[in-house]
Amino acid sequence: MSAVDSIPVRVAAIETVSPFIKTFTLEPTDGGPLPAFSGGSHVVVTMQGRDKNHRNPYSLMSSPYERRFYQISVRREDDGRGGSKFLHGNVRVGDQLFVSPPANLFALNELGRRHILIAGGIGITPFLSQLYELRAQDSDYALHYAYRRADDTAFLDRLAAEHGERAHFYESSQGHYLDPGRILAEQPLGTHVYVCGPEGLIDTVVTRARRLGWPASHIHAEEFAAPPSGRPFTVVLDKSGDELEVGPDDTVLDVLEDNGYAPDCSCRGGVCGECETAVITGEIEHHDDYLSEEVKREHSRMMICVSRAASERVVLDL
Amino acid sequence: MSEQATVAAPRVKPVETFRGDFTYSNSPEAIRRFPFPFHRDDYMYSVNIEPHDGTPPGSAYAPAFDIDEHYLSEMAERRTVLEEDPKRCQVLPYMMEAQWDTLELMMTSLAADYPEHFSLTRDGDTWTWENRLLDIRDTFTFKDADTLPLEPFEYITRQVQGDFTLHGQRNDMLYMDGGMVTCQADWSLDFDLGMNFYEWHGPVPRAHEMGVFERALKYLLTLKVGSPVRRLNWTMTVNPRMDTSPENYDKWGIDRATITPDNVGELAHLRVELQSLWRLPRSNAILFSIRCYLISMEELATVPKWARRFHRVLRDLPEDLADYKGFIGFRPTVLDYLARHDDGAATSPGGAPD
Amino acid sequence: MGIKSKPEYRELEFDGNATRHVLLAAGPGGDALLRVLDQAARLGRDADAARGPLDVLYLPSAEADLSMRLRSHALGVDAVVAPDRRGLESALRRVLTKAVMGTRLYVAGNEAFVWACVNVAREAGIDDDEVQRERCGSLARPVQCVHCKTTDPAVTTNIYVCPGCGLHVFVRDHFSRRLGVYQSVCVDAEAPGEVPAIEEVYP
Ligand SMILES: Cc1cc2nc3c(=O)[nH]c(=O)nc-3n(C[C@H](O)[C@H](O)[C@H](O)COP(=O)(O)OP(=O)(O)OC[C@H]3O[C@@H](n4cnc5c(N)ncnc54)[C@H](O)[C@@H]3O)c2cc1C
Ligand code: HEM
Ligand code: FES
Repeated sequence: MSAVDSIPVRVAAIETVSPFIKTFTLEPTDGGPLPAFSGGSHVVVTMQGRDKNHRNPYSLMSSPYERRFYQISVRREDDGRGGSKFLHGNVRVGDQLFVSPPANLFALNELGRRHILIAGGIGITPFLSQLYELRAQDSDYALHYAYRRADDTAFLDRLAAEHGERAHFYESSQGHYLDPGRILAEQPLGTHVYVCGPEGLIDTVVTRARRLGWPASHIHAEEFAAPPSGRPFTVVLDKSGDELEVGPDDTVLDVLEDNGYAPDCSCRGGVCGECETAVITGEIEHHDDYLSEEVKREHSRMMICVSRAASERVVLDL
Repeated sequence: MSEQATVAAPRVKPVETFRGDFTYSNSPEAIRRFPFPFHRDDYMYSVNIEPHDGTPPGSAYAPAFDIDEHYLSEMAERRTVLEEDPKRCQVLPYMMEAQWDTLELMMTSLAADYPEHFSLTRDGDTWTWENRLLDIRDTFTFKDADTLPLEPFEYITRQVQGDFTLHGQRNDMLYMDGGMVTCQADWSLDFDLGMNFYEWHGPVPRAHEMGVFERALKYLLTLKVGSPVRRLNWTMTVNPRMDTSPENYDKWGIDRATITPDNVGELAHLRVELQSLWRLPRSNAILFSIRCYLISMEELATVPKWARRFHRVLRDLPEDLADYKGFIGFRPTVLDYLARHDDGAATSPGGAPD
Repeated sequence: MGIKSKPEYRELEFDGNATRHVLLAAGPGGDALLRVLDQAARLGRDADAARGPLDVLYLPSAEADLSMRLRSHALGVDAVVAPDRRGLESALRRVLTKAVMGTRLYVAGNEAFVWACVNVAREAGIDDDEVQRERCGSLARPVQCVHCKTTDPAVTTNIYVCPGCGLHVFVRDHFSRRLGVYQSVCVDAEAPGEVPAIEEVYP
């Protein structure tokens, strides 16, 4: 993470929504307005733990029309790498965190004539920001929200009040289950379906939509999958003999620059080819879109802006 | 976007013409800051993208949107083109949010980069925009199109140099969903409107097969708010003509037949597009800015490194690219002219003058 | 191989995943519809329920009139035979107002016909991946002159005289789906009067 793309924020409020879910209100530390965003966007939150930094993506649930603060809701995952536990257990009102500028991998389709939102559990969060847009634009939409137990979520009253008959609730502990077949049947042309939640829910909705003949362009899913985190490794520079450590969230390029080197680079995203570097020994985990499959298999070159070592050490011709 | 101090305040010239008597020319300062696009002595298509991050200080690359001495001329030319052909500015109806995003980005950037020429005062949703170069002062309500004399995209792009296009992102694809296109290198917005990234690049030779467009698109799909990128593109144009549209090709095509050894230095121009790409925050659309710079061979030759290098690039450019770019017919005449300025000496890396 | 904007066509094929089918053709395109109907019939009776409604809209042309065969097809669908393109387009609009997600459109005919239908369907909310297109009959191209924007619905030559502005214009492969036309550009702008040989390349 480079310093330029992180925005310092202060935790202004923490609300315990349920034993598992907390909502955090984040205000810009410098007082200026936060970047505007579109419904469905997420930010990457960086938390400075005692011995490790956590960096997790969280969907923005506050209104896209609100720039004085962002809100996120976090479900505690007890067997993850610890980011959500840290937010639940260690973060207090007044603490400082960093967020990336918002990015959207789950936007509403501007051409949609009707939007069906299907949420499971904490998967409701991206829809909360989208619902502001749908209402502001007077769009045709329906929300279907499945959860285990009503006291697990505090969004129910608000959703029911704001969206009336457009919102449908399914509490599984009461034996109410969401039936994608019924929700998706007989929908007018131009309808789009969006699903966010557990893998199982996503799979059933997508499969069902395909079986009903929906085209891929009208089916949208976002899974809260844990992003792959890199393993640390050592880069050895053959010419200078320098040995540099690359941490889980660093790139080789960043580390070289931090150590006073100025390797060729342009896009910093694995497409332009400028940073191509010969590998003398070591195995590479390629993340670029530049090198051909053959070259990738040979482990003879790497794009240092995005790719990592699969071995513990890698010797580069630098 | 960019640091205020890195942007030099341009001295804006009175209106010159890009048609008829072609009075356009570059001052010595404008030549020095010309975005010469060749970093090496040869050229081939590539995904030449880099961050648009306010560097190098003082250069044409530093401002978010570069305003230079030709501002008044280019804005006058744009008005003329739009009068003749209003379809040069079109935005599809679902792009309203992107129109406001564009207006906000341009107003805030210009006011920050050129405080002596532009200012924006915001009081909630009541905004006052002042453009002292064009003598405009309007107070309007942000997001209420009825309070502006034109739709927000057209309103603001009539006040910024360069062509602009708007791209919605759907199904992992970008679409040509709008634009203000009056100084283009031979492509038609009216025709390309609604096309996807691969379709509007259809006529380009080689680059599809090279995988250039596939990689470029993948990269653009993940473009982030606040982290714009840029690239350079180039071709050659006869006369300092901004409007080399296909619509008017029947009128300007003949210019290509007028190049002679006597007039080539004055008539043949290197045309460079400084293109920047911006993710727009509320709409999630992408704004593509195509800022066009023209320099005659005579002006180019005042920088020895550039004349040497351009001679080599042009000489070794493959036929299919020269044909696509439209100068294959008069290339020999330009090469003869440039050869006189190429003593074979080595050139330094990078595009800047020595 | 053409450029990326030049549309590709392929043989229509019954899509078993769809829950409603709208078949459209002009002239010789009727053959393609007969093929799709045969495929649907081969799925057998059991498939009937799952297959969902099937509409056939047909426009006979001077090239071919297959209305009788479409009407008497064993599947027993009620083919609508339209008197002209206007009639066919309004029949299509009517069918689509009742259509729901899961509908597949199958279009067969010359390029002008195919894209006119696709654009009517797009207005009704149908996306590209819900449409199959097959080109049948004449290769004549619908072309728009980039200079005066006049469209000629059926150009069979590499170069033609634009009926709008009178220029000799060359037909490119660059194609706009929105407008349903290829682009044509002045062929002798750089050497007025020097018009290359005109040949029939899209018979
Ligand atoms: C775009 C996006 C938006 C998101 N929005 C939200 C949101 O709004 N609210 C929210 O609560 N969460 C959201 N998430 C998920 C969030 O980023 C974290 O993954 C989550 O909070 C758990 O973080 P963690 O560090 O505690 O655990 P993580 O390490 O991230 O683990 C997440 C889950 O993966 C499993 N897991 C992790 N590592 C392994 C392993 N090595 N092997 C097997 N299983 C493993 C864990 O059991 C856990 O259940 C979002 C994710 C994405 C990608
Ligand atoms: C949304 C962003 C973009 C838009 C709107 C755009 C638009 C265009 C258009 C209209 C043309 C002319 C095609 C014609 O002949 O009709 C063109 C040419 C081209 N584009 Fe793009 N483009 C974009 C991004 C890119 C990117 C990121 C690359 C990166 C490699 C790229 C590479 C090219 C190349 C190589 C050409 C040929 C230019 C020449 O040789 O003169 N474009 N582009
Ligand atoms: S910097 Fe472009 S591929 Fe690495």
